[in-house]
Amino acid sequence: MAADQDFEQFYAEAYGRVVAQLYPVVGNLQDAQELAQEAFARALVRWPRVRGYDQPEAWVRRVAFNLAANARQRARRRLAALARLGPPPDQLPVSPDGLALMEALRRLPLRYREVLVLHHLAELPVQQVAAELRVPVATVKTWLARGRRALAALLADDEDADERTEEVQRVFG
Amino acid sequence: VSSDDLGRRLEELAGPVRRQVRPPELATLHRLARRRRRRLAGTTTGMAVALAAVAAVGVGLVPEAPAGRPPAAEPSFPEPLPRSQFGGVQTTEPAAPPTTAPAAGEATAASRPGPSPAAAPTTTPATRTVKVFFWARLGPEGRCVAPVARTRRVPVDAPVRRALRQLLLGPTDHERSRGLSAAFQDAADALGSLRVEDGTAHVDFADLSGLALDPPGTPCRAAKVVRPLDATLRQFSWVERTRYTLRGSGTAFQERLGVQPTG
Repeated sequence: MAADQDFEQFYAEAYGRVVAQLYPVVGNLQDAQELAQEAFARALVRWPRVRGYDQPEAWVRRVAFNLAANARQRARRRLAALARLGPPPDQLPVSPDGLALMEALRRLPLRYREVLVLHHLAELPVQQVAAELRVPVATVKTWLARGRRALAALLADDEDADERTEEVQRVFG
Repeated sequence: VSSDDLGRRLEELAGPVRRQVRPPELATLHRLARRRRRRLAGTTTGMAVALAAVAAVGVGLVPEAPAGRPPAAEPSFPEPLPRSQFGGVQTTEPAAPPTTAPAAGEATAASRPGPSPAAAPTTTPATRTVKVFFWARLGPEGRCVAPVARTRRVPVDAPVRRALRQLLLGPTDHERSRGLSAAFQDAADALGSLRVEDGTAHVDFADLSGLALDPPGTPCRAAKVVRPLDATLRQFSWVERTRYTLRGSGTAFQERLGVQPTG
């Protein structure tokens, strides 16, 4: 029973944070919630083990990010969403600036989105981001720098879309 | 975009989500968890049923595509793990749910030659089915070579290691008599270590001197070694990538297979 209560408390506290961090990565609130639910369900299955980790939330977030990276899962979710034929879920209002940021993030590779969100939104230090993604610190720094540069180009308030595209292509080689 | 500015804009975007989304009822998670357990159990059961059907008509040399990208990769976190039987390296593979009795026609780990997993069972150990991939000559005059999946019943713990070991043992005599071949035969000792980390299976071979390679210049010479290894390892959802080395060297592995080392 204590383990169940542990999980319930962990779930109630961490769910919002995980969804909020997934949202800019996947670009869609419904996907973010479904991924989070799936990740928490996996944590529930393994809770006796996961609760012993230093940061169970990091484990859940990592599972959710991995799920987001899986194209087959994405396609399956879309099919499932189509099959449901229910009314669209409530969407939170997003400001024009927010929409522009989402659109810009969508054009970055997934790994870049992950490091930007973990470092700038979850406020994890670079070392911790590297540990969570299992990549070298230098790689995280590179991705952060390139990601920020690409975002700057994409969000630039100039009117020349071609120049922005060229800049993004240059950043990502 | 400066760091502060990006942090502020991300917070403006995600902050309302964090504050307003409410977790679904715990019952929803339990339902998802049950579905996942059923899916895992169903995969194993389905394989056993399919194997039983194939066994009814003999060895059943039906080509099977290697497993594609797994549905989800789950992270491996440090935790106490059983020691590998291949030289002391530990693996970080999750155990699969146990299944019931072996289906008809399956070769079991205990029935194979070579060193068997250390076990002095006083009770029947939980087992599961794993796939191993060999080569079969098919079509007119056996001119087509295709990978085929065979199954093995192994103890439920450390399934990646056990599947790899079964692959290295090669086809059974019966399977060989039906035309299956492999680069590895009775080669469990070839493996130095196996480590599954962050979705990558690192396989280090200690000795590949017994490898049965096609003559130099034969098309797909190296692929005939690597493809069954890849397919066998990637049948597990938590193995996304593979890396092979010979005594710690990727170059040595490639040279042994007769391919030009890359990088």
